Amino acid sequence: MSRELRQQLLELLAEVLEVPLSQDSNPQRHSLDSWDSLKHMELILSLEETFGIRFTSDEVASVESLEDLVRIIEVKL
Amino acid sequence: MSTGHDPLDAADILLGPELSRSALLRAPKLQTSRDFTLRIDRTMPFEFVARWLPAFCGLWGAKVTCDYSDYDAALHGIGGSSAYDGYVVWLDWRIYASSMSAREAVGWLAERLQQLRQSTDRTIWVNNWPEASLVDERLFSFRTRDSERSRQLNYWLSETLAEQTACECIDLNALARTGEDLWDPRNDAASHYPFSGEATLAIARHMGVHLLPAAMGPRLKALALDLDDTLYRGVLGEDGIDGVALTDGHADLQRLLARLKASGMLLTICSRNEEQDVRELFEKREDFPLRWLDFAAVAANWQSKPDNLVRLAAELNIDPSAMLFLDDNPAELLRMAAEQPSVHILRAEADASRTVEKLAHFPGLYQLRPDAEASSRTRDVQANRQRERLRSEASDPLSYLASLQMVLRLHLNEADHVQRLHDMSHKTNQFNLALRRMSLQEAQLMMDPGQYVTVTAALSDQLSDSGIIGAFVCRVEGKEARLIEALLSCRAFGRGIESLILASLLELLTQRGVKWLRMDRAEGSRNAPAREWAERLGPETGGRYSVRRLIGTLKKQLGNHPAKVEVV
Repeated sequence: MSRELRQQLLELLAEVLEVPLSQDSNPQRHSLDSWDSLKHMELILSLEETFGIRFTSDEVASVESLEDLVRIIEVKL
Repeated sequence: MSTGHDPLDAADILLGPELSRSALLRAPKLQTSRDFTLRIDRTMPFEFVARWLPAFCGLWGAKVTCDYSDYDAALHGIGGSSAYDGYVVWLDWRIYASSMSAREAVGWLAERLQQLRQSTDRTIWVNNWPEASLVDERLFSFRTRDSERSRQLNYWLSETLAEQTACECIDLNALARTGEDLWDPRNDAASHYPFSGEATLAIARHMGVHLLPAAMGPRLKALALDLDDTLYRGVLGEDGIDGVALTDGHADLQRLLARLKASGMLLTICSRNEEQDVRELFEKREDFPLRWLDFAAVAANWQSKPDNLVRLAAELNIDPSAMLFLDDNPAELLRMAAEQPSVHILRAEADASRTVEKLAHFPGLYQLRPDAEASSRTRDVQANRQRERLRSEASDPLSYLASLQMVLRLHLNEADHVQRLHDMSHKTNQFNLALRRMSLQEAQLMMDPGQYVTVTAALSDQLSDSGIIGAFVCRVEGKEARLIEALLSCRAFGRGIESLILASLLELLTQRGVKWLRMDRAEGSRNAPAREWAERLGPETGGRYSVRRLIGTLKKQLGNHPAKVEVV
């Protein structure tokens, strides 16, 4: 589950941020220039629509990496 | 259901009631033929909206890109230093709440808009603010509610924009009333953009299919409507007049079409049916919102629909590219696309409420301002059929013209006709000599009697009052004048009106001491009627006409034209 989810999230992240991301990477917000606050919300809204879930304000603010997203979404699915 | 035809499939996805990010990403990417760049002066992010504009703008062949200002609450550098195709002032109106009243804030913006207007005559769009509140306001009176401030702000803003030239409102308040889940505090906290994802898609669609095409292209002129399973449920030839069903959705669709007709859109029927049956249907079914006389032209027969559409366009004196064809049958739509590729097409659905949604979002139908000629348009086209009969029965052309009892009223530099001049410059394609698509500001300037002699012409005859059907604009420079535009509505073709207007205009120029006339001409794909008329005026000498000689030519051509001409 986690592996498939991770792959799906990686693809979505690459699409929203418009950057190529390798399969074994763990993208971090602070190290990707394109992952700014606008793209962050774009990403959250895309994830909510794709998975039919809703992030809380705290969760939105706490996401700093792909692994954070995997952790939050896994609980909601 | 995919038809394999990209524009048709894209319209199904982008214009229907369900808007989602994934659907937008899935929609076919459409070819574009026009590039526009918008300048965005902002105090909150516009990128969320801009992200989705290309999908919607692709529906009318436009590629729109955005060039952004810094975030600047004072809008010091409004408009930037380059020229753009349009300007968006995108404001988070909440940030002015602590320092200014709503009226003061709008007054401040008006100064900024005037500053911007000095450097551009292009359209400027400004957003208002939703009156729906973010927090429960039941505990607060109108004196203390946040929403009351928004209400006042929207009132003053609409008053201000009405006074400005070519300034339009991005009506976030109206979008908020359509049921979208408007606010998203998480977005506000993260990026100072307070709207939800759903609301953002609705805003992008409103801009992409309504506001931008309304400012950057001509409005469509006519709809060609299929009948069976499009305007009602059932098949007239099989179910009979009383057997076809008017569902709630079909009633809404017919009401929307009636509203479009009232706004100046011509409605026509393009259907495989017997015309007599169709006529009886619309005369007998009193529950139908649409009546027989609402249709400007009818092609109900067993010929091919592309052929019928071309015939309808000819009857209306318009180009097929100014028509939208609505049909439930994908095969008919695809055939139309193949044989008449310039015609706009849209698929009607079994659930007509979905057709209403799609039609309500179809680019080119949105109306920015009231159209003074709207009420006369359908009646005038119907009268043209009677005129044709009179023409065929008349013994010679002059007795035909005399039988019409035409009155041509020429208005000189009439400020009240600025909007009409602007509209005609965009809508008129066949008799449009210089193809000068004017901004409102240009049209306003052309009514200045110090520089221009601008004649707007109203025509009536015994069959109909056609309203303002022509406009000729001359810039006067000493003894020389330049005809910079000549426009005539296709509804007034075939009656010598264009030559009558020019002859009267030349008399007016003569009174101002003008001896020479130059004539601007542009070659477009559809303005051959105007160019051929200009050719018939004879050759220029040294690039200009002698006004005296041209008056003589026109007198000879017009002969004893029986129209009564009045200069107002």
